[in-house]
Amino acid sequence: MMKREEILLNCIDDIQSGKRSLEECVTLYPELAAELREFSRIVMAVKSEGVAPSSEFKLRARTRLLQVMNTPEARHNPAGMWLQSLLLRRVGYTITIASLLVASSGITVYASQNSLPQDALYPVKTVTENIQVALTVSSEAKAKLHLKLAERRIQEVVTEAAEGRTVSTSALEAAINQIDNAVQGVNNMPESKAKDLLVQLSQSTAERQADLEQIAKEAPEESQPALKQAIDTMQRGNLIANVASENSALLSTNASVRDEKLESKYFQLEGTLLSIEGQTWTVGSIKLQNVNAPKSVPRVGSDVKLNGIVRGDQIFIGKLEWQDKALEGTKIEGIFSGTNSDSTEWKVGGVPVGKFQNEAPPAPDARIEVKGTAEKRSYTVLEDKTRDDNKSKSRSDESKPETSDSNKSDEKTKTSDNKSAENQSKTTDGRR
Amino acid sequence: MDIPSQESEESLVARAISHDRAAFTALYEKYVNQIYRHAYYRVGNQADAEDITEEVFIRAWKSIGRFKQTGAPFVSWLITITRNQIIDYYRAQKSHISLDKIEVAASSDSEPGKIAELNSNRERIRSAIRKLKGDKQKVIMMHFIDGFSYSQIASALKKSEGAVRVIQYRALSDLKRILAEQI
Repeated sequence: MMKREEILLNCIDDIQSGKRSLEECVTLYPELAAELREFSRIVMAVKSEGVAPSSEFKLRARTRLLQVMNTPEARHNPAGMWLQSLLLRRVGYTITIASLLVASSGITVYASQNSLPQDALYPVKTVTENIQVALTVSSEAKAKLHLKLAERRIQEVVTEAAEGRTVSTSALEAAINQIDNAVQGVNNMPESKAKDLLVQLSQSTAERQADLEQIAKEAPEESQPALKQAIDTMQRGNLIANVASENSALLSTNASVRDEKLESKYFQLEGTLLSIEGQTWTVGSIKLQNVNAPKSVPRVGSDVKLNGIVRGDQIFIGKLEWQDKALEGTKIEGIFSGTNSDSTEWKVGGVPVGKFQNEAPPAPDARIEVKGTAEKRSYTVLEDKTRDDNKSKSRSDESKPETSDSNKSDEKTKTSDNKSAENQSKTTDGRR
Repeated sequence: MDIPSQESEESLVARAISHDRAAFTALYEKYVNQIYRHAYYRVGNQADAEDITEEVFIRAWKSIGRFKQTGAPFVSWLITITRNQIIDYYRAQKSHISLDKIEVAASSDSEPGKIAELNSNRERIRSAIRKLKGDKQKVIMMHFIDGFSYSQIASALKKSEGAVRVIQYRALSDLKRILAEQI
């Protein structure tokens, strides 16, 4: 290529990538000014053709793709039949709309209510639901409806699993969207109306999470990512609901079920409330900074049990119980969320808890319960409660002497204090 | 199985070939905008571009087992499918437009007499690009609409990068001439 052409193309590329401006190029190569300006205008005009698809379309196309991927015969159908399918689909849309018009008689819509994602009438069911959402005006009713629809999606997956079908990832995704909508709805609701819905949300998400975990035990590997995502979403919804139902201030932070770090910022803590100085609470050996507490606060000296979520630099305390009887130490449970730079200070559920001088940190996602004393700030890992059963089991097997099946069963019902006694040999400072 | 954000395209494609749905979905997310832009540019309206884009990924999923990794970008395979879809689409419309005229079909609804600034006159630009011959049109489309690098275009067209740059220069010169003639 001649030098002049090379210079022009390099300048055009630099202008497009933002490395240089048109005027800088013109200054550098004044003899090419006219051509540079002309080419630059043409390229800008060509690039202005670059339109982006709407997010609604992308979601719709993705959903259809997932449906096709979940259809076993999709792998074997000749690809050339797409147009026929397209035309049928367009006819199908018309039929769907017509069906909805006829639905004043209720027959089609009623018949679709028990349909599952792969069934012919399923689109009627979901379109009907969308219309129902659109026609619901009050924020409270809308949030309740989203919760109900999330439950319905999970129920469809439960039915699919029970019938030996492949679970529908599109239904799981829809459930996630509905839970997200429900939580966002609660976030924007007056406190007086939010309480009841949060209680419902807490109960519903706990139950649906249990349903999904049950399905995941038997589901094929290809379904596991979608199931895991849905389980995580239910868990986050449950954590938000649990804390926010006691402390509605959390709602102002727009906590979302799509926040993948939320679980690692949740903790449960037990210990003696030694002081409250402004927004700083000292519970046993643990300092909680920027505490946002529920309205009722215990007196200093009480033994407290609380849970909370760390959001930014604030700690939102949810459930808060207290009693006069003294505990033997401080206990905190949550996901291990890292150490300080020299690995001596651990964080549990986002809260700095103290030193573990002689103990290697657990895996980053480990759910642990630790106990220590205010004086020595030394801690014992009481139990690794990592959600992954296998991981938990293998860790448990490594750290405990072999027991009979009946003994293992008994362990599950023991209190934390009992576990503490069993694990004394793991005390970090070597005490027994 | 989760999709690590840093997973290479090669690895994603390999998993997609073995019908890993999560991997194929990640490829969909990565390329849906590009395919839509290409389709829109060719057919000139949103509804058809959406239908074609949707079908491209479904057809790609159905055919993914036959895809061979040769070093060419995965998206160039998707664009080949897109072009075939567009041809099928026009054929199935049973329109009387010949395949040659498909290239300029979308310009037929341009507004006569409207001579505005180039960057606001989409139909003129589209029409001008469609008048480019052979590889010139492909290079302009691939570089400026589809966002391919020179090396990717070179790989897809089986030419050297230098040859691609020469073609692009000539294409821009032709566009300048065609647009001047339109005025």
